[in-house]
Amino acid sequence: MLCRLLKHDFTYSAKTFLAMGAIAIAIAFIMAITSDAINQMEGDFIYVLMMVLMLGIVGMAIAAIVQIFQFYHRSFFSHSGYLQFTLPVRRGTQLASKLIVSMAWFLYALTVAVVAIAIIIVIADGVEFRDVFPTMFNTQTLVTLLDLFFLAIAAIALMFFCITLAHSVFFNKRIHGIISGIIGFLYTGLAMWVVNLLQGRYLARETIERIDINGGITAWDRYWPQVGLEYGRLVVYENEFGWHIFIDIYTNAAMLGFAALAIAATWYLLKKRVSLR
Amino acid sequence: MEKILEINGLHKNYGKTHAVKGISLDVEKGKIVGLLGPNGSGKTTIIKTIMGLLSDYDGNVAIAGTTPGVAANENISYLPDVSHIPNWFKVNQAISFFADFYKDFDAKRAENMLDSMNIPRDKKIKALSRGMQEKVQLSLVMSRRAKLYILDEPIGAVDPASREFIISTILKNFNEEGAILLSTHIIADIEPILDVAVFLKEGQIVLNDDVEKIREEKGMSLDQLFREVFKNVV
Repeated sequence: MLCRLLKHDFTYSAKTFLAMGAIAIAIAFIMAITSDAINQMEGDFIYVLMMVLMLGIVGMAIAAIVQIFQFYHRSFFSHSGYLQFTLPVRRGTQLASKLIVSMAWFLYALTVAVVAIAIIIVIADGVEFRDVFPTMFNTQTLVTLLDLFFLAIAAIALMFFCITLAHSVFFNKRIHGIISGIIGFLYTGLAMWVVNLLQGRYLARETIERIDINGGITAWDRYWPQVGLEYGRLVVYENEFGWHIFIDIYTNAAMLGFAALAIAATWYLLKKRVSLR
Repeated sequence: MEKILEINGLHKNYGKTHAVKGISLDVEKGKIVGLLGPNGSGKTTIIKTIMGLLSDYDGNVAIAGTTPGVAANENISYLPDVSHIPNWFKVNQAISFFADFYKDFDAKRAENMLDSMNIPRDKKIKALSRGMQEKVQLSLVMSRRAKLYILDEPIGAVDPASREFIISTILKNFNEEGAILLSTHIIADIEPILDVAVFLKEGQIVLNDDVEKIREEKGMSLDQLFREVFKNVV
């Protein structure tokens, strides 16, 4: 059943996301081919133009988030909900399908962003295409993408929870539910970051004394002892070959924890506490 | 007679409004039951409860021995009072959706029904008129071999010509091994196909009997009786 749901959910959302990706790539292409002309321009026009193009890309990112919101909301809580909720499919399976599709589109949006940047580098800076990705994908970029991935899981799960809560039996008036959902989303998001920050700093104080990282390690079996904790991060060093990985394990674990809680709560609400009016 | 649907002591509140007040109702195999009442009498609330769309209610509901949920949904073919097929679907996609999720769905039968009405299968639902959308929905719902068909206001929003088609489709495709629970406030058109009539007034059942018996005992049609009972309500 999950595969069938995925097929229909992907079909439902594909058109919008593919169109948005195409627009983002087009903007990047325009930025790249006009970069010389823009650099020779004088006055405020250049700033206005750059601002418009940057806003275009930021707008695409915001539109992607709005699309994920609408995808979930329309599936369950518009008239289509009468079809979704009366399918002989478990609520958990339906929720899993929505999460998988949303995360897939988030990864797609990240890929589009990477390709857009690559286009600008290749065309505007004259870098060879084969050299672009090794330059872009240094370990720090990869770790940042990993952090973004965990953040996205938590944010999407939290978004789903708030939308579901707004349509639960706990609110007699839909508008109260929606306002509570928005406040809850903002408050929980803020709380999540504060907790991570405090936790990271606290753990850093506890562990920083124990870090002992030496250079010149080349063998994998001698590599593991060099794993340490620094400022709440998993640190892996291999200096001669330039390996420096900082994985924010506490923040990412906290994000996964929040996501798991939000998913469990959403599943419970969908199963027991949602009413379509 | 085998009971397909059993409802016992059903209560449902919306805030301070007591929408359904302790209703008990059975639907037997082979019967077409009309849930009849004016707007706001609780028809749709009862149907939503059976379909598991409302979670906070008191009382017991059993569909072919199962409580509302995934297992029950396998046995119920449901037509809600809103257009529930995503309007961006093409008619063909809607058929494939039903075929994917309902084991008892007969795609060939749905295609034949749609072709007989000259509904283009490559068109999007939103490109069709309201009446055509109703016909597509009804064709999909009636193409299942379900134990219980629940049709919420199937003729509420269509013109008289379409009503005739809808009623004949219901009759032609009625599975004698199952039952139909049909809600409406438009009695005259639906009266000829009903076996049992259930009158709902302010969340309570005020009449539940065989249609023939009602006509004999009251000496009037169901439509006339409905107007009599609800003359101060409608």
